Amino acid sequence: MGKQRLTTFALAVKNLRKRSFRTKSLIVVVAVFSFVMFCGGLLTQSLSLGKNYMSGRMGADIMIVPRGCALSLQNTLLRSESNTFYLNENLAEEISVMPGVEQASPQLYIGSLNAACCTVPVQLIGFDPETDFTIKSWMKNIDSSKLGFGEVVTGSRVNATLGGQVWFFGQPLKVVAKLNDTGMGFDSSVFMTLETAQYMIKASQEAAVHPAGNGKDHISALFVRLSGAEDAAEAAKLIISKYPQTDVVVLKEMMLHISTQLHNIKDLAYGIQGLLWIVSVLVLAVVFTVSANERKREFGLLLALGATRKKLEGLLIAEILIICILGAICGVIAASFIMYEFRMLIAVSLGLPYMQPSIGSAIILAAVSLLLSVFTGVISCLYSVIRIGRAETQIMIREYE
Amino acid sequence: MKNKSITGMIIIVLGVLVALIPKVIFPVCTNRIELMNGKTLFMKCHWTAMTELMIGTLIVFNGILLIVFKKHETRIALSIMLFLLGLAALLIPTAVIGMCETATMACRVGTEPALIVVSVITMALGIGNIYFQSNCIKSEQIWKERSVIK
Repeated sequence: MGKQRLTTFALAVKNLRKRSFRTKSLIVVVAVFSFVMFCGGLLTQSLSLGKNYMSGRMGADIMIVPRGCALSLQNTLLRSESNTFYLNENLAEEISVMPGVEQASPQLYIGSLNAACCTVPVQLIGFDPETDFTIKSWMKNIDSSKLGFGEVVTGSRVNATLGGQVWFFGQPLKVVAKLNDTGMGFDSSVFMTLETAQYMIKASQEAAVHPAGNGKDHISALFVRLSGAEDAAEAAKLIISKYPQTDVVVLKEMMLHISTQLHNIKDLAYGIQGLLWIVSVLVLAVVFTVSANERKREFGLLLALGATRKKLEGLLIAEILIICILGAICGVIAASFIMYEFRMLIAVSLGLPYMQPSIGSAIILAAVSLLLSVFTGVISCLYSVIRIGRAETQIMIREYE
Repeated sequence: MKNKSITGMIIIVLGVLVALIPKVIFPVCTNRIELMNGKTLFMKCHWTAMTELMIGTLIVFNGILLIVFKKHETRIALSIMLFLLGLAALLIPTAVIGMCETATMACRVGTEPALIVVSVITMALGIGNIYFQSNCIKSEQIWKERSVIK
């Protein structure tokens, strides 16, 4: 066996290896703590990112839908739910000339089927490229005004290849572009012109077992941009009183509702993280104090052999640092793996805009979790370090005699 | 002795999870594909679920054998088998049979990630156990050599 220099680090590793059960248990405690820190941080960051991305791009101040369909529209936008509903088409012209209305664009929603007539069950969204101001803000890869008949743009979660075909109601449609992640229901939608969408309704009546509505009315929702966004609630009241067959979704109110939910989730996450931090500090502090107390004789002998008190303090800190770094790495790796694999389940379950941050942001978050775990470890061993630093060598050696 | 039982128990739990995830914990899509002529077909994920049930049962059996057999060489062989079963449990939903096409369907949202996580843990446990058993054999050999020298 070769000679090995007995550095503080080497001695700490040897000590930890000798007490392998205690070391493993403490690593598990730190791993659980960093797992929760990282998961909580990633979750709140993803929700904030999704909300900001959505509110920044929607463009419309109010959305007019048939009476009783407001929730369906919100579910389509947020939860990727597939819905079919129709509004009286004449409304588009009447609303666009109303005072305070800057722009109005119709959209047509058709829920495809989970049947042989359709490649995948998704939400088909027809829009008017000439008046559209919402869908085009998500389309970076294609000029939406150039979208032709029979051509579609698919959301990021729709399994379709660029340049390939997708089938709906027995009709082949060409995929000309794919959207990037939007963090909302658009990810599972297929976009086409109003003309193509209306053709799909006809095709659904001929080919499908379950036709997509009667096809008499040709729009589902009207997205309206007002000249003054602060008047949205007033405009909504006016529209509902004038057209009682409609419901109006005000974007500001919808975003406020999302913000409230987001705050509740954040509060819960911070609460759990705070509670777990206290528990982790207490567990680590108790275990380290007990362990340092049991090892008094060992420390006393090391002092008698010539080790300095600084060396002993360094030894204790090195031990906790090794435990914390190993635990934090395990926790962060497990959390990243689980959060990445279950990202879709989280997004669908929460029903809120959810967009995972970039790898850079995730690495920063991982580094913060690691630093916090190390900080937790250091403050929990402070008491033991101070006690060992102050104890008398002779008393330490003879305490158990 | 205690370690052997604990490893076996963990493997049994993992096997039960592999078998139960697609049917009970995160069930695969229950709807059937409806053809234009009115006939219905099972979706791809149904067959994945059936295969995972079989693999899960084999993992449970592997765990029982790991508790029963004491020889390190046998346990290494069983651990290699465990790693391969974990690999099969991973490849069935991701490459061999697969799941439904749409990313938001139940099988893609819940079943697939859960199976990936459990199968990766199973594989890691298999590799860890191979390493642990090999170390045990090495240390036993060192002890034997030392006792012969004495």
